[in-house]
Amino acid sequence: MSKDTNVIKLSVFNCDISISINSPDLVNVFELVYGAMIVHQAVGSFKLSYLITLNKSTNEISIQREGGPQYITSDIGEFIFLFEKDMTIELQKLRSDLLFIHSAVLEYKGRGMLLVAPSGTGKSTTSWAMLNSGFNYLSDELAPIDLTTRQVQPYPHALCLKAEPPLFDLPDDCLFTSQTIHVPVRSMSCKPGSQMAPVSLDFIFFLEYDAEISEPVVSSIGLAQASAKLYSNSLNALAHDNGDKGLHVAVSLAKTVQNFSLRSNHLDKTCEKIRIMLESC
Amino acid sequence: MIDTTYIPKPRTDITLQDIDGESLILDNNNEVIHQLNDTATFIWQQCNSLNSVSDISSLVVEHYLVSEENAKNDVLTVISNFKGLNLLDE
Repeated sequence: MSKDTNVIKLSVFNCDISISINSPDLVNVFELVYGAMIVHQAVGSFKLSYLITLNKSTNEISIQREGGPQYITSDIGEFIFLFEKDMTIELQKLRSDLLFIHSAVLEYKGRGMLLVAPSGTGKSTTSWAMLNSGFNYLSDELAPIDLTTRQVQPYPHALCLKAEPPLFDLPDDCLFTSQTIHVPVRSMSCKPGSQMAPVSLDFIFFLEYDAEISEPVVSSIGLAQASAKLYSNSLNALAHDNGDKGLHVAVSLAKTVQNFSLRSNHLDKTCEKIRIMLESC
Repeated sequence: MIDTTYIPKPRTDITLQDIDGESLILDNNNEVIHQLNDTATFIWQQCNSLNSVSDISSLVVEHYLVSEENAKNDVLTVISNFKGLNLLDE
């Protein structure tokens, strides 16, 4: 390894990951995006090892996981996307005991909640508003759930927005790429350190953006509907297949929490509505 | 167009999960999950490749204490929906 290579160590769901990087600029990108997951000392052996190389003459970035395919790009946004995609898929294989849901995760006074919605619906924008409204941030897109304890593991990468949010100014140290804005955890207003603690899952909100409504609408939904929506947003239900394609885990999870449909328009009213609900439940 | 003599045959390659009287049906081939209310669940449960629509209507009358006409119309509608959603074998 050359003297210009830095090694960043991440700890994610008790999996230690090593990332060797030959570019100080890319080190800065990793520190911004994954700063909350960086550790100085790995506890065990590395479950995943990556080599990230910047070719200064072509500006191409190579991502090479040990034992995996190589990805090459010259776009920083695509680089973050490709690395994240590879890492999260490998983590799902390593931790197939967890149920991974495509969802934001926030915490309020010790109570965990998922914000489940398809891509582009506003999970990250809503998460940004909520973490500026008294909620703690654990993730804006990945909820790994321990089905035995019903705890959600944090995945506090930088919050990833597709556009400037309508509420609350962004911090000065955001990373702007061609298609995304990455808000580092270090600059969030929520309680430091809270992002790395698992939380007990108590609520699931299935989010829909509705431009027609003037007030957010929260309504309780039945178990069958909640199970169907959870299953549809599961990333690794098949890892829990017992002859039913993993459907039973979505059902058993839905049974243990309170499930709501959330039709949202105004972010500040939505945050207030959710906060009032969580305090009254 | 189905009639009261039609015998619905549920596909065997779908996954059914009962949830407190309602059901989820997972159709992996079409990547769709269907949610059935308790009436549709009851009708689905009577689709055993032997019962005709007429037989199922009688069971609905007995279970829900509704008129034969209402039961027949409901069963025809629900089973037409099952067919339209590709949950039945041809």
